[in-house]
Amino acid sequence: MSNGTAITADDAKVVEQPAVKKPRRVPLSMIIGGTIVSFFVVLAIIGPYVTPYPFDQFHFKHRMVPPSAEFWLGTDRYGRDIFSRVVSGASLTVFMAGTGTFIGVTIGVLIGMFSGYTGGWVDEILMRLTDIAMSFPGLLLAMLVVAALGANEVNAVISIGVVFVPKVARVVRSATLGLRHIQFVEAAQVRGESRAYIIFREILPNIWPPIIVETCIRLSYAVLLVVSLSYLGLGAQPPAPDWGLMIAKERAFMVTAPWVVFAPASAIVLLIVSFNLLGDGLREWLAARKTSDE
Amino acid sequence: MSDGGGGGRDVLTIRDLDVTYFVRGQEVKAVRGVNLTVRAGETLAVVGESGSGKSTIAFTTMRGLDAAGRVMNGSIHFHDTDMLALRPRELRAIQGSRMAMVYQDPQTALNPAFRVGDQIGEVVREHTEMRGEQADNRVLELLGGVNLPDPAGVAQRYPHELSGGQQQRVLIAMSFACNPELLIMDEPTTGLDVTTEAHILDLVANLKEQHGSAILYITHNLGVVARFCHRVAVMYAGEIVEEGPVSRVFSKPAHPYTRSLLTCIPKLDLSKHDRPLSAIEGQLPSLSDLPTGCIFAARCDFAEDACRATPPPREQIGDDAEDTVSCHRHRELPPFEFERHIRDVDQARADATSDGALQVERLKCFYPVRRRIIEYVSGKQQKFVHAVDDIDLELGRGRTLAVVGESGCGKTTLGRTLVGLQMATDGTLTFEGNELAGLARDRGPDLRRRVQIIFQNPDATLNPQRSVGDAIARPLELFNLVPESGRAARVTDLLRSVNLPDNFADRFPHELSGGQKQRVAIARAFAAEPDLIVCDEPLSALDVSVQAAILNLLVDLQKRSNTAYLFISHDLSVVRYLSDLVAVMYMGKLAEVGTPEEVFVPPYHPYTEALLSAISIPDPMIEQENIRLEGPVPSPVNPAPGCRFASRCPRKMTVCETQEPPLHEFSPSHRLYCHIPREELDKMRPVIRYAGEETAVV
Amino acid sequence: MLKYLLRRLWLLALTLVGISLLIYVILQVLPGDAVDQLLGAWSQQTGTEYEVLRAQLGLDRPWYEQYFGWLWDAMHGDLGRSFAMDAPVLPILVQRLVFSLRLAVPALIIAVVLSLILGVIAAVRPNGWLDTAITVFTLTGVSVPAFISGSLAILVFAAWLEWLPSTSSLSEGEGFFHWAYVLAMPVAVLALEALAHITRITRSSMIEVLKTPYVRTAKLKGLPRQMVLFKHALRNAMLPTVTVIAFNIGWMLGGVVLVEQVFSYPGLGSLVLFAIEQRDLPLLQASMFFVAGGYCIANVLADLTYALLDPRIRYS
Repeated sequence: MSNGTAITADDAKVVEQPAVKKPRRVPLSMIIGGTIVSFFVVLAIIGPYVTPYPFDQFHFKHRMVPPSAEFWLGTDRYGRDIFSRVVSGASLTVFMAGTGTFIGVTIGVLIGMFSGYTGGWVDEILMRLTDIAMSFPGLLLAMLVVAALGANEVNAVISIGVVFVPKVARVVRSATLGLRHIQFVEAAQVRGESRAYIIFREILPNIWPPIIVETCIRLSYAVLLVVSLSYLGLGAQPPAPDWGLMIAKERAFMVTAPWVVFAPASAIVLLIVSFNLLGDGLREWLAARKTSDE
Repeated sequence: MSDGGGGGRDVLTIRDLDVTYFVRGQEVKAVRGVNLTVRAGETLAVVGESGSGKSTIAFTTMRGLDAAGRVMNGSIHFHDTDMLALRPRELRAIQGSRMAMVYQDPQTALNPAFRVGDQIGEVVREHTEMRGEQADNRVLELLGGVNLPDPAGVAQRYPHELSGGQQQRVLIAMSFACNPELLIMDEPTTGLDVTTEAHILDLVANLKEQHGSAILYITHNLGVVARFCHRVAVMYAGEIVEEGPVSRVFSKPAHPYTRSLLTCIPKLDLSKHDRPLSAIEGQLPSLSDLPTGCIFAARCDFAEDACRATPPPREQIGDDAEDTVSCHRHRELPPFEFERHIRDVDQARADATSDGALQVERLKCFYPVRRRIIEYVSGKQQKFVHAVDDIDLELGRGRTLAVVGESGCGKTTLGRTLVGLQMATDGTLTFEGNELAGLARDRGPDLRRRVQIIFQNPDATLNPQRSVGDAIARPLELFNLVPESGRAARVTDLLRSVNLPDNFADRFPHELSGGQKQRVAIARAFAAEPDLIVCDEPLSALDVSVQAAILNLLVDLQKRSNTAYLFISHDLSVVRYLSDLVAVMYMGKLAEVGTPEEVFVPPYHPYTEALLSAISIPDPMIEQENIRLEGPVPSPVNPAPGCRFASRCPRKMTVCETQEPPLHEFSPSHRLYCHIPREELDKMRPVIRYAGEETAVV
Repeated sequence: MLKYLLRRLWLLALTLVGISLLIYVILQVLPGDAVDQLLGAWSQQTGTEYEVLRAQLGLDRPWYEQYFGWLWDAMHGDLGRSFAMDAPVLPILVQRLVFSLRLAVPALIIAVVLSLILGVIAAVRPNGWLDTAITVFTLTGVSVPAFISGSLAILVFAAWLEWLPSTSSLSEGEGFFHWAYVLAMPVAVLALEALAHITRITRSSMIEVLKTPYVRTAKLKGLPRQMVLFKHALRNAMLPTVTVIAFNIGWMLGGVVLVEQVFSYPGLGSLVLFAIEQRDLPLLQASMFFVAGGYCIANVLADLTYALLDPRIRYS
């Protein structure tokens, strides 16, 4: 209740006292976002098995046909079924974004907690380094890494990890700093607990909320980076059914055959929107939980 | 100041006020059926603990209730104006000019982005015809009026550049910008040092005298009420349970809640050897699910079935129509008596002196002031904050040494160094032959186990993600005190020893009240079977009724375990109650040490004298000297030679500014550092006396 | 304030050196040696020619020696020679930078002005219908990648409605209206994302600030509503916004790559892409350094603005 209902902080305290605890309402945005995200995750796992056609099968007699019963979302210039390609592409995008985020968040959390808890020169140096890394616009840093390592899926994932580490480290560090001198951590220091115990048992369980929210935001950026890199030809390479790549390759035909671009574009936007919704909802929900816990 | 303020016109009339908050689908009935009248020239106190609804009344009157709060019933009249019916424009004409407010936390009540002069000037320009230079001059006049030195300089400052006391003066200056007819003060001195509090209260009393404003004073501090107000309304859980002139309420309290409030705060003449404090058991009722009968019945010692069945009517006692109480049994209560205890100074001294298990010798703790890189390169000398500067103390097994002083005096640093949260710069700490050196993790496990700490803020003291049982069991595991099979049983024992039910082991901190959390923290400290516990202001965040229970618990546990306490506090009454020895600190230096019976009576250190004079005592039978500290607080960074207190000392001599004060040893336990010759110190008059006597209250 | 400025500039210099070093390290030290990749086309050739070429380009020296050589030259205004264009890098960069700024500056101005207004409107009544509409708009804005919104814009405004040109090549000497005509779409696409981000942050920080005790003080002083809102609240709510604006400049520099690609616009972003495709190492190093350095300078400007808005920073 730092400055929330400051007007009657004193009297509102009572509000939190009743023994009967009402369950907190889960924000609508979290439900919608979570549902769509789960849908995409399921699609990513089973996608390749449920498509009507293999994603790279050419149908030379049906090139650039509009959506029909046979080809639900139409076909591209080689007569490949766009529905099959978009569904197959889900696993590529979701796994690339997910793995990149996982790498970035894991390393970022470790660095952030270590830096924030240790403080002093170590912290100073680590934070200067993140400053430098964060001086690159995310997409450009990813492009730089891919340029150095070579353009393919694995390197695109690595580049996402590299872009995220400093940002996650920053967020986690500031959350850790907030707990560094809090009394239960000091109580552990007085007991003589080890540094690892304090970081992982006392601090980490209390900074999950910001980490979860940050992960969600990162996931939406990761999707954005994945598709942008492949759009620029720096991610997945043809004939991979990557959404960004599909847009890049078929864009020339979009005036005559808008459906070639429409399907992958909608998939991208829907996935990013749902991650953002989930992130917003989680933030709201966790904030509400925090106030009712105090 | 206890008698009626001379019945001027009614400035504020509140009738049958009900205010409800709508929070997450619940209706919290924060204020119910409140009637209040404030007259011109009068100060009405509304006193109560957290959750009593007192601040809600203040903000409802100002029409500053937040969006979740709504007035369900009743009226508020300012003179003849119906405050609840005003249109925004009419309301704005009253707010800030005819009716003004002073807030609890001045730091957050001022906008950090604007100069304070501009923030006051805004009010002047909005509500008067003054413009340009005329308005600027008015701002300076107002700042001068609240005794701020160099008003022109202060006007140019930003809020963060001022101390808490100065910020509050700025807010007071702002509230008097248009000579308000009604001033609402919401806990204006909470969080300020006692010496600052005394200044602020003097100032407001003065301004009120000049302008004849009526004051509605919201507070939890009964001492301030006794000192500053004419009439008082006591609130409990949203209702006024008793109202009357301060002189009557404090001498013949009629409601059981008022009586408990008055007896649960430790007084300067009460020691742990006299009796346990009378705590109020139980918890505030839920305001969304109210009991049918008397709101206080569940916690009342005198409650009968009738009390639980019907709410008590408001009854007049005495001649005054506003001298009322709401209690079924107020006529049947035994008479309320003030106690007096006979003091045996020698016995107290014998109790205090002992083997000296803890020895603090020439302890210094300095913090380096951060230098910029350029300053490193240019070889500029490192500066230090002298937080603790050359202190000698001694504490025996099973005894309590209290350290008192204003914020920033170094008392917390002393405690943190003891438990190893901070490094000592110089000097030694010995505990029963073992040196307490360095940080906690550098000390051996046995030494670490024997020295524990209890913190100030109950909300931060427990890890929110860990159950109460786990928190208490951790020291048992870490120090190998109890094998794993017996831990659960030991946790239950510990919970019982702090008067918590067994099933609390499975609860999480957010399910506990502040007092309960503090009990768990105490159980956790005692789980390590320590010989010394540093208590860093463990009571200051708690309501007085809860404070009393925790104090009793600490006394009880000490008797049983023979653990020594280093008790850090700013509250002289609590210190007097709990301690065997008192150390008064000022700016990192020791001013005076002794038993309470020695420190709280003359001869005093001038600083002790000023502290005693500044505290507010809720007892009409007591007289108090009026000593105020003027002069600037010196910087703790590389302080100048001489007595640290010299800049503010009312008894300063020239030698004080250049030489360290010498030590006077009045007894083996009573030491005092001051330049004033012994004969003069001996001639000092008691600061706090029983009315009409020369005996010091102790 | 001067002290603060000096400290900030000193940090900027350090960061710029750090950036150039990082670019060098990534391109030289990481596995998948970029030097080999650069020479991919020639690497089939015989050993001696290969070595000669390496020596010619100074690639046979240790990487740190090369780095300090590069840094030394860079500080003297020589950023090397582009392999692919066979011309000095600096003039090319400056020309492309000017082109990119013509996109980015108007986009940023539009985004900042609009987002502050939208943010305040949304915050005044959280969860009201205006707020909901703005939230939906900003959520969409942050979720649509520039290459999609750009493609969509081309489809609608260029192909179907035929209002605007689909590519945005500029020719010197044309008047303002021609520029506006040509650049309208890329600028709008670029502004959209920044607008969405800044609006979101302005809204949430405004909502927080409106709950603070000092805003309540201002209200209970009897000040008019607009004064409470725009003087007392917005000034403080701007603080996190300024940081996000700076952050968005970075985002925009990234978005520039995509937007320039979509609209075939010859700016800095497409130059970076060209350098990557051509494996033109000096050009890539220099253009990356330009972009990151520009972002850093924007950050410093943001910090200074922050300090102007918040007296607590200025004096600490």
